[in-house]
Amino acid sequence: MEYSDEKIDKGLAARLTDVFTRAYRLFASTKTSVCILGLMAVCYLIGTVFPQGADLSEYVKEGGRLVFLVSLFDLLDFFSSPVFLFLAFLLFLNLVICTYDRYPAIFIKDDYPREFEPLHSIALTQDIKEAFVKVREAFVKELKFKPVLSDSLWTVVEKGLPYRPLTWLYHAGIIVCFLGFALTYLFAYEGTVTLSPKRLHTVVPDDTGRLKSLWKKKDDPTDFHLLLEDFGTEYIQSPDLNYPDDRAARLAIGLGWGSPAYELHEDSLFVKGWKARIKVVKGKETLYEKTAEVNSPLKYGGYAFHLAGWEDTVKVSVDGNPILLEAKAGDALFVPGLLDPVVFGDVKAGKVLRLDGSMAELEAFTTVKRKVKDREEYLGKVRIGESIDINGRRITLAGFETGSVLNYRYDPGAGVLWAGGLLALVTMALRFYIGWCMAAYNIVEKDGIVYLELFIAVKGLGFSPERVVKALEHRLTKDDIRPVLLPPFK
Amino acid sequence: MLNYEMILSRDSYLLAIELRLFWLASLIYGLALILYIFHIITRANVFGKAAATAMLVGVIAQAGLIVLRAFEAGRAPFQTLYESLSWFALCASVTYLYESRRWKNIYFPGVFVSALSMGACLYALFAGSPAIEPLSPALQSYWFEWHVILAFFSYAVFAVSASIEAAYLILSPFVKKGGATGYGVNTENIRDFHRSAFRLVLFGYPLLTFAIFSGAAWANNTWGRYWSWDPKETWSLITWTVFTIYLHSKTIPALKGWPASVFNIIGFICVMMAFPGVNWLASL
Repeated sequence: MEYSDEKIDKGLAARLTDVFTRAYRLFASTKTSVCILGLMAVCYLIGTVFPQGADLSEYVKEGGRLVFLVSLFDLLDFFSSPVFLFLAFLLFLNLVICTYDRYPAIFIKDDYPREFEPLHSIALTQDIKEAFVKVREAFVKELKFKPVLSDSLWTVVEKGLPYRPLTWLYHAGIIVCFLGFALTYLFAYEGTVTLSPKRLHTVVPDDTGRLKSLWKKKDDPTDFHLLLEDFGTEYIQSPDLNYPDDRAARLAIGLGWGSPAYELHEDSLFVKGWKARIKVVKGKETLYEKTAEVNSPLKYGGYAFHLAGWEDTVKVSVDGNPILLEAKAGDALFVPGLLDPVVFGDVKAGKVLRLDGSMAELEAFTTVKRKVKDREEYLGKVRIGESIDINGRRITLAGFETGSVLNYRYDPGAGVLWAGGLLALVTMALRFYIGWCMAAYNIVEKDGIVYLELFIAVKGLGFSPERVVKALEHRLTKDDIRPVLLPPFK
Repeated sequence: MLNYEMILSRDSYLLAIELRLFWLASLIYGLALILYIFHIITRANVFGKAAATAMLVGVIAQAGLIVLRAFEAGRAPFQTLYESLSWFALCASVTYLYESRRWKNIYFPGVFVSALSMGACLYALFAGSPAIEPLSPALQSYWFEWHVILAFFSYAVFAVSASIEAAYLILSPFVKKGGATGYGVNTENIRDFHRSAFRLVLFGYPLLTFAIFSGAAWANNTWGRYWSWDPKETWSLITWTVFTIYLHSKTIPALKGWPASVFNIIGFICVMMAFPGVNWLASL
């Protein structure tokens, strides 16, 4: 038997169409969503079991046994591994196809059945025509329902927000969030820069993200400079609580045997916050300036600069020598003539909010320690201009300088994520908390008694069938078409 | 103006009152738990009613101590381990009392809720520090405040939902066989447990979503990274994913019955992992 090329092409096209249709139906199914979400949950779980960001050598050193599996599936960087990314892509595909598939449904007018299975049956006293008018009035005028179908045996009324568009919108919001995640994954990068006072600094990223590195050199500096104009820390006097760790002692306090006690010590200073006045400079022009705080970063040129900490550099004079030695707080300083290095602590300077509510200026001071082998020996505290004698050498604190440590980050995905998240949250809250209610009713006469037959469907939490029935009962009783003496609603 | 000694002595005194109130609230929840257990053993409604009343008294004591703490700290008292557990216990008890108001002579799920509330209080009292200390600069954010408030509220709502679901799973086989009499449940109203559990998840899910969103906004504002896959974040995402599965399963006829109930219980286990579980794992 011979086949022409045309027939083969048609057969292939039909098969491809069939495969595509099946794949589409598979990904448009909620069951598929449940399966993929289940797999994602398992992946997240794996990510919490294995220490993310750790080295394989560290893992082996700590006694990790699943070296083969860890290497094969990249379990120490699992959230960037091909397995995880593939599953995330499947979830995204499922979400997009489901959202696309349900799109027409949000515009389709509900095709209500001609008959409903009544859930409630209410006996009325009026004649059937009067009852029609009164029940309609109760639904439309009093309970504020909107008629949507009245030309059939059953009258359909509804109230609330249309749930299909809202459901569709929060799924669309999650898709936008996914796009934000993707932008972050491909383009975001970060680093650290330390600004010294009154000196210009250029940000030279040592990374440019996963995709941008294809066309941009990693160490291309920014075309602007940063200048630290001022830096200040604020402290608050915070008393320590004398409270036991022992459970029995805690229970005893609870039962009235003993009391907790706050105590104030000389060093009860807690860092309340720190601020840095930073200028963005290009040539001689100041492009932007801001006083950045811990929760208020400086944003410029697509970068966000966050205050991560500060770095003190102390300046000391040895035996009155005018040539000053400099050392960063916490680093070892080798002083000529001393065998062991000296270590200065962070300089405490700035404003302090006292316990009684008053503000005061701290007289700057730092601690001095001597590093002997692996341990540090506390020697004392020094203020500006004060000296401390160490093995016959007079070390004087001449001054200090505080630099601001900034974490910078470039992330074009964050804004997209917030937009998607906001859309998802608002529409989800409307869909879940306000919801929608549909009531279908019919008035019939059986054995000479007029009955209101009622079917109610709700979505979300804003409506409950019981409350709708109660409100209707109240209204009808008030209008005298359902006297109280009649049997209660079924 | 008050001198330092007066301020310290006043603050110590207020803290002592607060601690006694907190112990009292946990003992009342403990009493409610015992009464619920008596109700389960004897099937006598009198124990169930007394237990529900004890829960209400516990709620009043707990609300009082939270108000006192807010006065002491001069800020919203939901930000440390000690404070957030107290908030969790209050939310769980209030949610349960609100949800159970429609039930007549049904007290069974209360045993789980009172145990959870008492457990949260004891965990706060034994493991947390009640000291009122200034917040570190990173925590001084409205995003963080809302993050904690809503996260713990949603966890409490899920805990109550799982308690009702567990009661449904335990009682429904007996109800089908004609047993479980004395607990106020029958073939009609046992289904209301399943619906109540669903409505609670429906209520808690947007709260958890906003809690995750506000946590990400806080992290982004403070450190410049909205997500860093740390175990706490990841467990909250697992919790969210499991409740997403639960909500979707309610739309699939084959899954909307007991499989959905199982997803709800798994979701609650994830809630437990997202908070005390992660802390416990980190301490190992």
